[in-house]
Amino acid sequence: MCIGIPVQVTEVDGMFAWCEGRNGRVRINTLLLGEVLPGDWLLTFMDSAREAIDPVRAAMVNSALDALDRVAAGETYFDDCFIDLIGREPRLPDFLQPVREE
Amino acid sequence: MPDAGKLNLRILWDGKTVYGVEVKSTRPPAYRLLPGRSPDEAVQLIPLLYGVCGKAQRAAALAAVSSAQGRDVPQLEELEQGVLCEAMQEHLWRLLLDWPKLLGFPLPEAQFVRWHAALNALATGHGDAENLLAELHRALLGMTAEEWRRVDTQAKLFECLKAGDGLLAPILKALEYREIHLDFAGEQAQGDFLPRWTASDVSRNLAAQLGGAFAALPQLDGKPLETGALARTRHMPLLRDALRRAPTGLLARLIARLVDLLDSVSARGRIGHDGRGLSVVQTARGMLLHHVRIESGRVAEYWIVAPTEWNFHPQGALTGLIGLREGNAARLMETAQLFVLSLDPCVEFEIEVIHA
Repeated sequence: MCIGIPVQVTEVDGMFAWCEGRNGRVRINTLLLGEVLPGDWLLTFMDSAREAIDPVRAAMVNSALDALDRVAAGETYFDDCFIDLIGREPRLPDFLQPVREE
Repeated sequence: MPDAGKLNLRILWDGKTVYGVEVKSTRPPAYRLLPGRSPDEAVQLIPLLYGVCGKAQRAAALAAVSSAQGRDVPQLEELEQGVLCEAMQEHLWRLLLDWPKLLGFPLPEAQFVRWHAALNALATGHGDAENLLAELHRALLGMTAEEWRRVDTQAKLFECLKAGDGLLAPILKALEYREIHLDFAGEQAQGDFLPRWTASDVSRNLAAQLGGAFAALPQLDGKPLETGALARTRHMPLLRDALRRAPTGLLARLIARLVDLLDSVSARGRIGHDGRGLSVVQTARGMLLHHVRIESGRVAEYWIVAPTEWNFHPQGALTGLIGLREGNAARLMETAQLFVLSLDPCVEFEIEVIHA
């Protein structure tokens, strides 16, 4: 079960990019995507970018992963993580608004 | 701890021989998020959680939920092509990036990126699958599809590879060399494989055991089983020959992956009634199983059994390292990495050699 982690590019470094995500600052191999720009969101797996994603999908994946963290910590209530999942326009968390463009 | 969790392999070594292995997983049981959701929410949530093999996970979820509800889902046919292309992309990732890196060969990055993109196009109904497969045969093996089909022994494989200039020739040769030089105390026992089951077979054989404990440590009649490309192809003459020569299966798993990629085999099945649904999707790493029980319009139970749980069972295929005679800790670490990569984990992996 391959859990992908969303990260946002802060600095491009050749075929790699420094990114910020839920696990802090990480260096990601961007070979597969070609050119990436600061502000782009990437879905990553084991330090490689698999897919460029939009900020809304990044926020939804992060909400799902927040719930997963809470399951791992033994919590049983995480409905608040899924408020935006179904039938509504997903709301970006404050720290994602606005998406940085350079 | 990263969200995706980690697998940890501890190798117990007395300085000469491996006498034990311990496998621990910190992978979170993500299916625990699903009870209480509506079936539609479950189908949307699963690909968000499993973003990397998202197509296979989505197809499995949709198949399990729709069969529990007793309804037909036309999107499943469309998803099939995507699942297949995703599996091929995963195989190419291992063959062209991970194996060359581990064995110290240059990575054919440009080709990988091009084929990955071609498979993305094929997944959405664009491009020519026949052309792509012909190109893959030529580039990876230096053979035509017809020549590859006639390869039925390991000796013939290496003979054909020698004649061509396939990208994978040095990797296959290096792995063969490494494997035949492994020295084991005593006979190497062949591991057990998960049969190529349909959803009905799975239901018949496993449904009674399905639950959290089974999803974490799946086994059949007390025996952990290996799933994946080798489990699917081991009856083919080429794979039978490779396993006979080296029961550790390192090279056999790599050849099986190639067969899986080039013969692009896919199987999906589902079965369900009375609010219960079960689906099976063959992925690059092996059998992915979803099971759902729906009660009063809500998910009451959801279990996902992923290939990594079968292949990295603490009493499973990695116990093949036990009995390995190796006096050098660094070389032991390298050999353990070959074992792990041949089994293709879908999470980060940490290996420790414990000298005691």
